[in-house]
Amino acid sequence: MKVPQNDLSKNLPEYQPKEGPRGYSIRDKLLLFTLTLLSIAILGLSSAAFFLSSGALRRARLDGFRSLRESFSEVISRFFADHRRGIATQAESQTFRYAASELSAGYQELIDDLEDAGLPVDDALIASLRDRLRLAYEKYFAPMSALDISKNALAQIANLSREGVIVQYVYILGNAPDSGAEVENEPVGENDGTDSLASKVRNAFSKTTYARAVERYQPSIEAVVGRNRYNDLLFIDNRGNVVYSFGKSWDLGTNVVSGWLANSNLKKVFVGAWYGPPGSSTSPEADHVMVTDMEDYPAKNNRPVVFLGCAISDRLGEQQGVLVHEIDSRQITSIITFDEHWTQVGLGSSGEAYIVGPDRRLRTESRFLQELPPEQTIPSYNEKGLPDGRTSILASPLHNQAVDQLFANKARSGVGEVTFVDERGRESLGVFGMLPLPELNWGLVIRIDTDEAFKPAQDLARLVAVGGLVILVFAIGGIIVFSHFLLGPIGQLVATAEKIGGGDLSARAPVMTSDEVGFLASRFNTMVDQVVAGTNQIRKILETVNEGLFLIGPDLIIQPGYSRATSEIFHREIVGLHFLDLLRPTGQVLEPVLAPATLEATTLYLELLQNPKIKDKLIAQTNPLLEVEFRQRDPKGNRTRFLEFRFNRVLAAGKPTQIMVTVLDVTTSVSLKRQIRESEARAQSQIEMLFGIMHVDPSTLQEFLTHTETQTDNMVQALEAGQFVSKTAETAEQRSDRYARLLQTISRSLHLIKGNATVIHLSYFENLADQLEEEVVAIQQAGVVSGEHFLPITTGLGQMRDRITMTRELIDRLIEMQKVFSHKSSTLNGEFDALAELAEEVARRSGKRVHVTFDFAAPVPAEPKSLSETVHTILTQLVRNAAAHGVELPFHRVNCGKDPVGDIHIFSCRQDPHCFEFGVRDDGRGLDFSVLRRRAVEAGYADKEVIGRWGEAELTDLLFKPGFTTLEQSTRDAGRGVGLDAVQDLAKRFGGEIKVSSKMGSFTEFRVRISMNETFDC
Amino acid sequence: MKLLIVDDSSVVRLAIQRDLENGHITQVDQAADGEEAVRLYQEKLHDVITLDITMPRMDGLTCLESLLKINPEAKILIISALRDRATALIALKRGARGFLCKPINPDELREAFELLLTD
Amino acid sequence: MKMTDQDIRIFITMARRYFEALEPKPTLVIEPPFLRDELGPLLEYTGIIPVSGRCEGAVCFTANGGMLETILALLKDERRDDAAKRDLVGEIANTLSGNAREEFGSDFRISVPNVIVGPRVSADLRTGGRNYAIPLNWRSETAYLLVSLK
Repeated sequence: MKVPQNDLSKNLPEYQPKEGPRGYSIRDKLLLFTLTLLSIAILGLSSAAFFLSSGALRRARLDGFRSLRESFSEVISRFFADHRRGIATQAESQTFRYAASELSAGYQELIDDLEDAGLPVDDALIASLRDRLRLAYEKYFAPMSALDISKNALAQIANLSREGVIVQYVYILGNAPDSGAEVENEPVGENDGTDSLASKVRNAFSKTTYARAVERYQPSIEAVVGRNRYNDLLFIDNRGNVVYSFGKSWDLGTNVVSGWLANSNLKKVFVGAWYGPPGSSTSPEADHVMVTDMEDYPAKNNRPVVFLGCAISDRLGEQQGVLVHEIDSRQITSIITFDEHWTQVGLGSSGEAYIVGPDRRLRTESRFLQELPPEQTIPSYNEKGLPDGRTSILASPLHNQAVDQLFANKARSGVGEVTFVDERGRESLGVFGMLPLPELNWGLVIRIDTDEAFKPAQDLARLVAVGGLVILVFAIGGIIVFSHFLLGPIGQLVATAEKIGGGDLSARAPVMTSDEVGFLASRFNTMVDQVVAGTNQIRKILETVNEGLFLIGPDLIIQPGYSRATSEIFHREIVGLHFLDLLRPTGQVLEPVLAPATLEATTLYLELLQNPKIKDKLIAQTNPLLEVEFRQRDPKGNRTRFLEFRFNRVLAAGKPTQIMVTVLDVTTSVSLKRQIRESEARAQSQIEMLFGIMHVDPSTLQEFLTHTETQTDNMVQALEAGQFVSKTAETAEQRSDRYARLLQTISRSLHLIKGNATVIHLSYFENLADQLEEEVVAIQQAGVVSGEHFLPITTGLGQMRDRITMTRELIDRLIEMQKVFSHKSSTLNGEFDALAELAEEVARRSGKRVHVTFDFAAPVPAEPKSLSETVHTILTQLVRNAAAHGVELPFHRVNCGKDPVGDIHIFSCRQDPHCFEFGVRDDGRGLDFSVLRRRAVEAGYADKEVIGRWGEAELTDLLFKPGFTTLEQSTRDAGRGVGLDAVQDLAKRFGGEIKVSSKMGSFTEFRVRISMNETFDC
Repeated sequence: MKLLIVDDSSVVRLAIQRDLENGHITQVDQAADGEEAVRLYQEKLHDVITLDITMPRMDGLTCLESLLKINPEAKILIISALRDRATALIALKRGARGFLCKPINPDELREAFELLLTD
Repeated sequence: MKMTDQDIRIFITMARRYFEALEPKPTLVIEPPFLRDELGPLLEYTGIIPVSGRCEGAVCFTANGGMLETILALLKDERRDDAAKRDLVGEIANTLSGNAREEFGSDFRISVPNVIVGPRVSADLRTGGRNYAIPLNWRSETAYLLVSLK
């Protein structure tokens, strides 16, 4: 029988493969940790480096700037001091005194001198000269039209004094080479170079005192100017007229008090120098120098200049005028910018120094003029009056912290350092300080971009950071390598664990190192080995065990992992099925045959098992599945099987979780039990029978038996006769009528039997009859009846017959016993029992029944001594023959009207004292002489004709011929033809003879006569 | 330890008593039918009760319910014929603690008794 | 193992099946079985199947020539001679016992069928068991299913 291959590993509970280690691996954690740590370190270090170094740098810068500031201060103050000294010295010098005096005098006499020289200075002349001047002004100041200068200048032309007009005309417009004018003349008069007016004027002018004075002192003044690099040198008379200008600019000839320069610092310097410091009532000291703040000077193309002024006195000490020096801002700028050698001064590429005045406007040019926003600059004009870009000097006021703090300190020596944002938006580091200049309230600011200042610090920080990053990269590389070596084995272990989790139980972790990981790996392997061994053990047990063994859960579903025998018993895999499905017919090879009540009881029983309050041992006897019938389909034939189910609770922590089911094939034991029960029942019924018979009167019993037998035979015959043998078809109704009649006949007979049995209290027969009656009733009550339904009755009748036979046998046995027990006095004690047994045995073997009787009237003679033995031998043979040959089959006998049990009678007698006779007589079929005759012919003793004439005696003699037998086949007990001839011999030996008498169909008797004396005739 | 035996056959009652005889049992009462059983139990509240199913007047199940009503934790062992098995299952569902079938095996009876007492 | 009623019913079912296979709606009528002292009654042709194993004895199918000829015709067999009828009766007996084996199992062994011809009151067959004779009435002919098993 093919059983599906039971791969038990598939039947073991499925291991759910769990996912690999979730979350970050060790290496990731290590990396994360190191990265964080290093990043923090790098960050910290580079910040520290940055801050420390920037602090140092700051200090260094500031120190540098401070010293720079000091040096600048010194230089500037020396500059101004030198200039002050210079102008004072010059003012006191004789030359300058004389110059001033002469120039002033000459200026005053100018008109007179001109007229004396033949030039009438009338209004017309002056007017035309003014016109020309106007043109020149217009042309000159045109580019500067944005400023008010030209308007003012032009406006003031009208106010120019005559002297002024002349002077301006001559020195500015005219191209007088001899006057040494450095001013470039607008070639106004060029077109009319031969203009008589111009030359007239010039001619006349050259004869004046003024002109001669100018000529006389020009070289000395030039020398001074050149030496000191003054922008211009001016003499202003005591009326405020600019009587001399070295540079021959537009201020020449104007009146500082009332002219268009009245608002300029020229006036201031004049006033300051003439009158002395404010607050002093007396005339100023002789060496008092007035210094004005830098201002855009209109006369000098609006260039920012500083004026120094000093009063010139005559010998007598009377002030005659003021000497003015004009210093261009460029000079100061050049000092502060170190002539643009910034880096040498330590200002790098983004640093600068500048001076601001109390109005917070620059007094020096910004280094980063180009980068300044437009509002921080104003247009600038060069010496020729042409636009020259822009300048930051005296542009917008600066409002940065440095400047604020400069002027916040009231004390003039305000110094300090500050970090601030300058006009360009650059964060700057700077120092500031007020310059030690007596008249000027100027402050110095030295600044540098913090970026530049701290660039080294940044560089350092960057270096540290880069270095740190490099270290980080190495660190990561190091960790990866390290983790490979350390975590490699761990990873292998994890991989092995995953494989095992996935179901591959053969996986083992390689033990690669001898550290904790290696230890762990080897212990892990050991553990897995143990688990595998344990699993294998269970598997072996499940494969070997003979019973079906499986577990069901509380849901009664069969769980995977059960014994091989289970699938063999059920001829299929039962995993996942509901337990009760095993007990319901579902078309399987092994089909259950279960009463519905049993299924209910099973459900209830299983329910009880799951109740923790009830102990499973206490309800074991209510198990309804101790003998469950199954039908097994088999090509060779369906058979019935019986399975026994036993249930045990599985407890986990005291609570029932599963039920273990054991299934055992108990077919053989059940059938044995049934056989025992059947034989017990039989025995029981035999006992019943015995007891029943015991109390019945023998003749009554005999009659009952006969009657019952007759009735039974009748019923059997009725069944046989009740068949339909007509050729025409029968309707269902006719048939059912026929059956009904049959049943009635049977019923009647049964009733009779039952009645009789009841009377004599033979429950044995009574019950059977009753049972058969019930069967009849059942058939009568059934609807459609077919001949098949009669089968139980047929069988029942057979049973009735059997019972009758058994009863008769029992009686016979009793009779036999009685005979034996009542004939105790028979001689040949015990030997006759053997004979009787033999006879019965022989009879039995051929299906016959005999009972042996003895009548030994005469005992065997003692002499000769061997006679007794011979008698026994002969009797044995004769008895055998009688049983085998003589007695017929029981039914044969009945047919002849005889008792089915044959009678074999063993006898002895002594009719004659000299003759001892003994023999065996049976009431069997007797000798059939025709058979004898035929046999003789067949055996060839004589031919047919002769034998036909033989009489009984001759035929009888044949029996004693050796080898003669009338049986067609020899059986064990008779038919070999050995017996009778031997008997004859034996008899003859003792002087005896055998006589046979027989009547066909009635009896056969063999009589042996032994003579007791020497005479042989008896 | 008090024991109550309920069965309509005196032979059976005697047999059970004889089989369970040990030093721990201080008192044994017998009842031939359900009503008597309930009455006795009400009085004495025995520790263990053995109960037959087929009895006259009050049948086993009814008796069981009455006993459990008096004490839901009563330890009742059904001792009855095998044919009463189906009824026994119902009795167990209703609160009986065990079932043994007749003819009674003394060892099984003693074992069941022990099991009943250990809880 | 003793033979039971159920066993005999199986044989009857097999006989019925045989006739059902012959024609769609057989007019087979099973008459009430009766007992005989010895195996019988025997009609013109008898197919005897000796049985051993679980039960010892014989199962026979006995019929008259007329019925056999009818069956031969149904089976589209053109022969009508004695040999054919002997073959047929043997075959029927064989089929019946063979089919019955399905139900009884492998320890129900049948041997080669024995065919005896001629009506006899009884044959010298000793089986020791009860001799059941089950009349099979078909198309107004009667055959017998004889079961004698111990």
